[in-house]
Amino acid sequence: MSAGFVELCAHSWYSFGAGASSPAELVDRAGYYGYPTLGLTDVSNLCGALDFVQECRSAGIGAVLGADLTVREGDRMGPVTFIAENGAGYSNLCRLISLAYVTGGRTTPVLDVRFLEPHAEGLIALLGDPDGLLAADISAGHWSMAEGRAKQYAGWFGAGSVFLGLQQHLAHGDTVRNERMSQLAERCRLGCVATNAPWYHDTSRARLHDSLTAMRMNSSLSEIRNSLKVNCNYDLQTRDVMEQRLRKYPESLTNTLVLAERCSNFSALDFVTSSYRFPDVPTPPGHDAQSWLERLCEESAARRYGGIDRRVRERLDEEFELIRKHGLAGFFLVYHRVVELAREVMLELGWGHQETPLEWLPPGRGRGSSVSMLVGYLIGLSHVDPLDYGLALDRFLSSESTSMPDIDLDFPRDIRERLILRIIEEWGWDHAVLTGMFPTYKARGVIRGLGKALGLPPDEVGALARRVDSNSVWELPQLPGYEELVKRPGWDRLFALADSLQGFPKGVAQHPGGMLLSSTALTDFMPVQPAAIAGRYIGQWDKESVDDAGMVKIDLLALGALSQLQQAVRLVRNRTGVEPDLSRIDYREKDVFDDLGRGDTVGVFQVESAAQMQTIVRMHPEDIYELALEIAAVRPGVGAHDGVAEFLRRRKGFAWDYAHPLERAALERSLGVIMFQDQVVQLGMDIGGFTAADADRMRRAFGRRNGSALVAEYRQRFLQGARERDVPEKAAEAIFGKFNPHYMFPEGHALAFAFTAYQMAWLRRHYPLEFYVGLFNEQPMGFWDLDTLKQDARRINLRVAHPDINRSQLLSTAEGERTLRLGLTFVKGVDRRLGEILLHARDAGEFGSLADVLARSGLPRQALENLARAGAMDRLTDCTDRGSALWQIGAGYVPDARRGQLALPMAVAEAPAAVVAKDRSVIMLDEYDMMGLCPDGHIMELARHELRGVHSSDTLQSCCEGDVVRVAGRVVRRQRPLAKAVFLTLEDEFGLIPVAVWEQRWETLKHVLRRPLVVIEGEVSRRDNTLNVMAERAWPLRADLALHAGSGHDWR
Amino acid sequence: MPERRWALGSELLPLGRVAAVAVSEVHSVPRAVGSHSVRKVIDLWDVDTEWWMPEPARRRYWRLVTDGGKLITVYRNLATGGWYRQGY
Repeated sequence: MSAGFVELCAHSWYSFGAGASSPAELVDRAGYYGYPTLGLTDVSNLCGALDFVQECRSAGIGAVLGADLTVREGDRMGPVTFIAENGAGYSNLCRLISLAYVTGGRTTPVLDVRFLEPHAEGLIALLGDPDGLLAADISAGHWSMAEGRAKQYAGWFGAGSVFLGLQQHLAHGDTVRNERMSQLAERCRLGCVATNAPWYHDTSRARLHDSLTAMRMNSSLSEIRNSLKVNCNYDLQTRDVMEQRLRKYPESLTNTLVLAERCSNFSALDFVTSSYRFPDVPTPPGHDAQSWLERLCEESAARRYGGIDRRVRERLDEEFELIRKHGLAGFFLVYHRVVELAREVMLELGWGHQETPLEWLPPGRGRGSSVSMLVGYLIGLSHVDPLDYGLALDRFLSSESTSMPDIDLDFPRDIRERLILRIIEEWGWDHAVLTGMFPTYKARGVIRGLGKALGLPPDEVGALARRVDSNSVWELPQLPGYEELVKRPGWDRLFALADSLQGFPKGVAQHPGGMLLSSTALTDFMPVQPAAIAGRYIGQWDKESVDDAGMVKIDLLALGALSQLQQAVRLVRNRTGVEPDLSRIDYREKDVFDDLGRGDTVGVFQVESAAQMQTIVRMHPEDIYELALEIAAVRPGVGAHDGVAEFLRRRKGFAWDYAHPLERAALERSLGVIMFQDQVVQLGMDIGGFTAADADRMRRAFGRRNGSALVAEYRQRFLQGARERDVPEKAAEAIFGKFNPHYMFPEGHALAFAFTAYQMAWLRRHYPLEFYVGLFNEQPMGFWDLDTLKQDARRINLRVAHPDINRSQLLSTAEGERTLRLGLTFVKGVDRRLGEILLHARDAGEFGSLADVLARSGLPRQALENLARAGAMDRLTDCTDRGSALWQIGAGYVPDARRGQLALPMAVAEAPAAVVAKDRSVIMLDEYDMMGLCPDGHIMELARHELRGVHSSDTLQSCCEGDVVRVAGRVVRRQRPLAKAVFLTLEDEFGLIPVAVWEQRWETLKHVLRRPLVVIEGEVSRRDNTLNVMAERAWPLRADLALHAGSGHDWR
Repeated sequence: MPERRWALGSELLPLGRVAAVAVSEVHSVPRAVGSHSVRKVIDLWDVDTEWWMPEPARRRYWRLVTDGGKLITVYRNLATGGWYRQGY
């Protein structure tokens, strides 16, 4: 008779660096084998728990959850598997995992055995792992130790909840170990449980499992062969095979069914949902959350509007009613509390004034659809007045909404860093954590990792990795040389394995902004682990699992642009004594819009990309709403149906009409083109007859993976609704056809960004020096590199000055009205610590000479040389040129001068003058190497004399449509929106040159165009004041210079 | 064929080189090794590793008791089909 079997101890790819199958693959395979239940016991985490539960639910399979934990007893440690039988056990498991990380180590979670007894309730312990202490004891013949250990666990967990695991992988020693384990179980009156403890769903993944192990250990397979499994039998096995292999121990097989049954009443999802409570914020006596929120809003409205008129009253009443209906008052009050904490941080950092009301100077800025809430505007969550722009609520919150609304807040970097810690301080680390995320393997990392694992030549592996320009490993076959490489031994395996690694998670990382707050301890239902940054903790679930659990994620994002604004405002205050109040500047200033309309937007938030520059020139916005339209236009969802071109055409006065008059309400403001998410929702309501919530679900359906069936369903309902509204089928089809899965902004979000963009453009026009100092100091900001920023600064008559050992601070500073002095930390090898050492030495007096620097600065030789090469010593009296400065440093440097070690007898001031002075090109290239920029020149100056018949960015302006030209420059940016074409930006000593490359041409030219310096030939295309060179041919330029020119930014 | 360390349990050490041996089998189970018939199969285990090397190791090991009561270990190289006696 069949004993029966289910697998309780499978490992998924969330057993990072070992598990070689996704939860979905394991569940699929379990379903195929006819298992009614499957257990997941990943190593030291529950990262995949909810994903696994959802997969099991879809497949109609029972889910059992547990984890393998490394347990330390004295100086020995080994894995033990724990399975949650019920809610108490699941909670204890979460606490134990958290303890393993918090007390055992962030990267090496180990649980001290003393934690087991107080957390044993509801857990089933499976001892007997081949690598565990019990197996080691019985293997060594230490029976009394083994017996003592087993009985100790039985004492903690109860005899009925401790089992000895039997594994038969047909590995050497399995048979003997199982026999002894069975004897021990009998002696201790414990049960045995069969498991294959699979690491993959199919034997075809065994090599991947080995490779992941090698990559985790950062070694080659040969180096770690003793740590690898000896065969491929660690897969999810069929019941028949397990029954055959462990037929001597039928009870161990039957016990799997017994345990599965014991765990069957526990639903992790239900448990988590019922355990999680969004925190409450205390309210003053006599108020509940709703009345207190209303009071706060009304007080703020009175300050904002000088009273509450009918328009404000009606909107507030509408929002209050929605908030009451959905019970969201506490939710908004928590956000309000977060903003209050942020304000405290802001004041501590010296920004703003205590007396300014919160809503006048909010420390952060809302983004996303939440900007449409007047309540949000009034309690400091947003800086856009939704009444001014008639923003509709439906996309954010409607009476039928079923999920918690989503509010994202942007903060300057320094405020956000401290705010996160302040929130953890306020609510406690086990009640306030960052959402987790699971970064996946990318093509370059895969090549490097697998190349090392397989023992391939590091030089060749590195060269191949550098040629990759896509994150997807599926594009590796398109690499040049692939056909030859794949035929070579070892490389064939690399490519085969790389293919399987696509989408594999590498580990737990911190979500860029999402925080989770709970009034109940999060560690009761979600394991928590310390983040790499001290004081922060990460939950082990990503945003999908957090959504599944019904938890509210508070997104606190760091926005470099806000830091830049903040810094610029302070610099203006320092110089002029007046702090510009950006909330009250003139938002209709023609000069500012003219700058924007000329594409004079380097460094201006949201409108500085090549695509944005071109669109803004063609559109020339004249008010904030038009700027919001422009910002929204350059999104894939608008461009998908050529929406941008159509919008520009209509804006120029070309005739157009609505597909149906019912479109008017939704699309009138954007000339009949869908620009915003809100408009899709509105069309769903006005044409398809959906409720607001359903229309929003329809919108989301387009973006869902495998959502085509759902979209088809919505389409039918949309067409039916249109019929009921007498919209002809053809028109309804045309309207539905405009919807697409690509991203676009909510209207409020675009407006929020437009305000920030305008404020930056305003600063750029009125305080360009402070604007640029802020911009330099907040790098990297993701778009242009320092050399491009420097070129643009020079173009608007600013001077970028070399770092100066007597004048520079750590960061860049403003000197006078037009000079930006580069900071010390802009020099390679001079970090904040070394910079502070230098400044400390300078406190005793300026350095009089290079000899003085050598005697007093306390900097290492390399840093001194780098400063000299960057020009920071140029103004010292004994520093005639940089070549001799380097010679003097070499001759006079004493490793520990400040500790009294005597200098060399030769005074450095007397160094021979025969050192050859460096010529201009060497100096310039040195500066590129040291700072990534040359303050008073451009690398193209060095190549210009060789370029015959090549246009500069200046002379190119006189070329006509259709002219075939050659241009040359440094490739400073590559972008590929929706893969239709690739856009490059070249930079020469006079400005920027936009280049477009059609996808097909890109395939043949990309290996040249990925070089830092190139010459490009192509036809000039002119449209609406914009100019592009359509690349046809390309050549690399001056390899010797290219080495210094940086690699540009890709695909942003 | 040289001895390979991984083929051993961690408590075992190589005691000698391997030697080719004639094995007669029924349904892939050894019934006789050389002139000795197999009285009992004690254990079997698989080695399938070093797949990244030019010569991957793919073997099935048998721990046997022969008719003379002697305990021996033989393995079959699954790549070549050849049988070898392990010297321990």
